[in-house]
Amino acid sequence: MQTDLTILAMAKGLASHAATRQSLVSQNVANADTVGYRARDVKPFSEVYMGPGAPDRGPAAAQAGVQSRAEQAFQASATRPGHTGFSEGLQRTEAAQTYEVSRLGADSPNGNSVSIEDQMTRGARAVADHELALGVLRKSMDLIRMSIGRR
Amino acid sequence: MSDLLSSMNAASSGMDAQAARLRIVSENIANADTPGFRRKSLSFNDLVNNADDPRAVEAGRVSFDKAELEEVFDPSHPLADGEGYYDGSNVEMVIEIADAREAQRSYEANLRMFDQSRKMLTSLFELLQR
Repeated sequence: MQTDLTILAMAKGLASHAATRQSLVSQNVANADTVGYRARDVKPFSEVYMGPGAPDRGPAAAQAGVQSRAEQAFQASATRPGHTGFSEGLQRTEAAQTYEVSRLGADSPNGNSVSIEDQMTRGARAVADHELALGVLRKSMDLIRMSIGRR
Repeated sequence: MSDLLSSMNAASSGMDAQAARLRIVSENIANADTPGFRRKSLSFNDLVNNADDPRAVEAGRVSFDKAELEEVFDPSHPLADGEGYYDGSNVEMVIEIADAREAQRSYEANLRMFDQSRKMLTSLFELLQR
C-alpha cells in the first residue's frame, strides 16, 4: 500500500493558513472604528502553497515533483524558519506577506478601510478552509489507522 | 493554534473597546440636560503592530467636543443670565443614538469573530482527542 503523506503536510499548511487569516480578520474587525486603520489580509492558500508539484513551479518542476514524491513523503522537510538542510517541502504560510485590502466604498472619511461585511465573508472562508483541512487530516488519519489494522 | 488564540485576544480587545465607547455614549445621554455639560468622545488606538501587547485595539483618551453649548431660554432657571438664557449641554441625541448603534454593530461583529475562532479551536482539539 502506498500512502501519500504529503497530503498531511498540505492539510496542515491549509489549516495554519486559515488560522492566520482568521487572526488577521479578527484584528481588522477589532479596528473597525480606529482612525486611519487599513484592513489587511493574506493571499489565498492556492497562491501561497509551494509544495511539490505546485502549479507556480512550472510543468517540468511539477513532473520532477511527482517522480520524487514517494521518496519525499518519508523525508524530513523544513517546516519552520529554523530548520536548515532539509528539502523545501512546504513554505510556511506565516511567512506569507500580508497586503492591504481595498474595497470600493469601504473607506470612511477618517481613513479607515475596514468593511465589516467584507471581513465577515473572509472570516467565513477561513472557517470553511479550516474545516476542509481538518476533514482531510481526519480522513487521512483514519486511512492510516485502517491500514495498520486499528479502528 | 497561537494564531487562533491571538484572534480571540484581538476580538476580546475589540469588545472591550466598544463597551468603553458605549459607556461614554451612555454618560453623554444621561447628561443631555445637565447645564454646561460638554459631550465626550472616545478614540481608539491600533495595537496590531505592537508585539508586547496581545490586544489589537484599545480605547484611547476621552476628548471633549468643542462645539458651542446650546443657549436655552428659561428666565426662571437659577443659572439664567440677564436676558434669560443659560448654557445647556452640547449633546445631540441623534449623534449619540447613531454612535450607540455603531458600537453595538461593531461589538456584535467582534463577538462573532470570537465565537468563530473558538469553534475553530474546538474542532482542532476534537481532532487531537481521537
